[in-house]
Amino acid sequence: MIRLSALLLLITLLAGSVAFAQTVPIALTGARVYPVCGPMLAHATVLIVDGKITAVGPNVTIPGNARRIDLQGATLIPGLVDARSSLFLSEGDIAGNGSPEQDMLDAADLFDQDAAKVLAQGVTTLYLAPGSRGSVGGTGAIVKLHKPAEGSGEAWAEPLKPRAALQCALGLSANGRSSSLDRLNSYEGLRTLLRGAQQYQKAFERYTLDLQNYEKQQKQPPKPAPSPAPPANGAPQAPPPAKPTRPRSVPAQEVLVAALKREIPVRIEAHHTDDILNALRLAEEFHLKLILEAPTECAALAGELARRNVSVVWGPTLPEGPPRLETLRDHPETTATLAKAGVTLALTPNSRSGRASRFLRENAALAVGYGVSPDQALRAITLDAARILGIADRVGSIQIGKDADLVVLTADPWNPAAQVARVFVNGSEVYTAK
Amino acid sequence: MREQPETQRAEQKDFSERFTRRAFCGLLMAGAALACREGRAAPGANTLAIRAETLYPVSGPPIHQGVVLVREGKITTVGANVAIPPGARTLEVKTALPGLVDPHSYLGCLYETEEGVDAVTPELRIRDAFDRSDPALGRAARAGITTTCIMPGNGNVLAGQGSVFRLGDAPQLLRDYAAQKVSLTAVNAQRNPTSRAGALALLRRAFDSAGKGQAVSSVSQTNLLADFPTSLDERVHALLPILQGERPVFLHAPTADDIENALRLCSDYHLKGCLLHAVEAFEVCEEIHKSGMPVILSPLHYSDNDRTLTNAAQLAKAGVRVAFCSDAPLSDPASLRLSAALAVKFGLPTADALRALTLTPAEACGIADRVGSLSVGKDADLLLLNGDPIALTSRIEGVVIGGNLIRPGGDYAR
Repeated sequence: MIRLSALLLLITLLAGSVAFAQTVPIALTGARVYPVCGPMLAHATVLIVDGKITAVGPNVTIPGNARRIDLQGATLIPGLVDARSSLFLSEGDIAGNGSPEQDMLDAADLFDQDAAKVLAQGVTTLYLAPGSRGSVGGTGAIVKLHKPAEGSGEAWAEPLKPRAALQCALGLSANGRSSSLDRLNSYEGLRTLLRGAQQYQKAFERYTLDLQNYEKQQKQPPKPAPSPAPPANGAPQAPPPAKPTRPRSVPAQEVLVAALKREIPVRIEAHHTDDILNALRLAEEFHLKLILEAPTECAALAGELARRNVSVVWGPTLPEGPPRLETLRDHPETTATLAKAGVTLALTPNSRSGRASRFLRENAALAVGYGVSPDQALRAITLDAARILGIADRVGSIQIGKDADLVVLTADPWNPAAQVARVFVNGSEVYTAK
Repeated sequence: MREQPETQRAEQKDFSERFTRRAFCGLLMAGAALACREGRAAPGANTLAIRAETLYPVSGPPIHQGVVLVREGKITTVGANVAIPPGARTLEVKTALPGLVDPHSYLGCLYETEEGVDAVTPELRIRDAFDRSDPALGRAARAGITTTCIMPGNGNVLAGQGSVFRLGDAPQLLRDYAAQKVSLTAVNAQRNPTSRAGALALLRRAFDSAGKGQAVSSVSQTNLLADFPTSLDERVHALLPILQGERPVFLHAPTADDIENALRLCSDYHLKGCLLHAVEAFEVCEEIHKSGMPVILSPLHYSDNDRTLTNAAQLAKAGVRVAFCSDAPLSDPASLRLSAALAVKFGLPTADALRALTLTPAEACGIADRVGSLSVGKDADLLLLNGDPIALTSRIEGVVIGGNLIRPGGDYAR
């Protein structure tokens, strides 16, 4: 596992050095720019230097050596972000019942050709999600797509953030059956895990403290010779303090501790109202950074979610496949209720098939049909998805300092005739429509 | 959507829609009676007018600023320069098209779709298992489906008779024996047929016997069930209409070789009908075109591969009529519109996509005289949208079924 990660890191560094080696700035001119972080700019230029966006606006000074690409009024949006994808993962990888330390980056086959189809639809960043059937599925990873050089045999993606979130589930039915006892089990199971991690964390804290004390004592100069007369009663002397033993480190616990420390968010899939409330209780008890996934019956709780700063990853807009107990009371309009309440929302096709990520835009368009505003829907597949994933400093909007991940569309984003014309990742053109 | 009241009725917004409608109908009738007695009937009384920025009749080209007039649940006028009679209840919308016709679903009968003990059950009527309290029916209506053909499953070679229902507050039977389900993949390790060749042999034997008026023997029954009482005459009666071309067969034939078998079977026995769930139809589109059969396709999903997504476009290009079915509740009923949008993205012309949701399925189910297009004399079933009919961003503003308006939202599950 470590070796694979190291290999990936190496590939990343190599790919990175290729991508960033460009010295010629690129100026995309004459574009209708949807920066997403601000209002639409009807006729603007985006300047790219060394893979980053360095200027956006109607009056950008273009360096003399820049390569100019006139977009002739085409629409420019940020590279799309899928907040829950199965791209690069096989059925077995997302079966669920994982362990917290299982990182999806180690399971991902980054050479899968489906990536080409996804990239051609403007999706540049993806969260690779473990399955969520058991209480804990593993940890998800975030990757950015790029185009391997012709014949290079390189991968289709580079890791952006391994171990990006702890994936959990509450109350999911097995074989279409579910009972309150199952629910209680999955809630108690997750709670027990987190309490165990608290103990683990405490043991290490105690060890650190003991070690500090021990080292302090060791450094102290030897005390002057003890009183010449030993105690008359002949009591044995206290033995010198022993060096504290380091507790055994457990990879699974390390991940849970990272969640307890709020270093990584905890994503809980929960559909029924009682399961959603249980997720909120867990978040409160353990002070977790909570992201709810597919909270089917959360409409009445939308205000509460916004107040508690709980974000939501929702998808697909329409339930897929035969009716499941979880989605029997599904209302696609709930997406609009959440958006209106001010909940940070990501919309995703959320399929067990990796290539489904190419329909990120179509799935969000459906949500517009159920009342999400066009602006909110665009945010839900760019900036807000990036925020939920904790990578908004790098991607999600057309803003100075961010990665130059850009999509050129032939029409406005929600026009059904809009086609992807070109895609840029880190300033390199990775897709051009024929 | 804007609604203009036709009379000076005092409309209280907080009244329930149903109550308002009833009260309003009562008022109208009273008013009409009064007017008749006084000899000056309001010409638009009892008339519903729908004015759309773009009207898609499907049987003809789109009409800009089109108007549909409805009386007693039927379409009385369709056109561009239509004067709305004074007194008519008027709905103003961006887009109006025929209500969606779903040629294959398990609405109201999921979990009871076949009689597994025997592979030959043409006498089975799926409407006998129809549960009109199934919440999936309300969900389908709110997704714009106004007519659906419920069908038996694919587990029996002759699976039974499907029926067409009109959805709405009280589902109504439109056509009793609309089609016979024939499954070329009804292979089962527990009983005959155990192979696809066996399925074909069984079908031929059944058709041969029924054609001669002989009892259709139950060759597939296991010995255990040898005494299972079956009315063999009923089988003949169920099969004769399809042998005489009075009723269509829906042939479940997913792969290219299943489709070739289906076409041969239909040509040998002069059967009429259509191919169902024909995932690989694009591979044999020339043969299908020659047969003149339409193809009913499963709803498209995000997880589908390119072959499935381009199937409709390739068939249309070869001149084959294509329809989409919902398979609801196995798929969400709203996947009908999603399917059309995805098919268009993968090359199906928009006009063909609209026809695939309305007129083609109506023809396949033998109900094109009642539904499927906006033409004078047809049932007033309409889907009202706030934008382009293929755009996924378009919202359903209302669904008119038999002249009654159902608004979306509310209690989605019925």
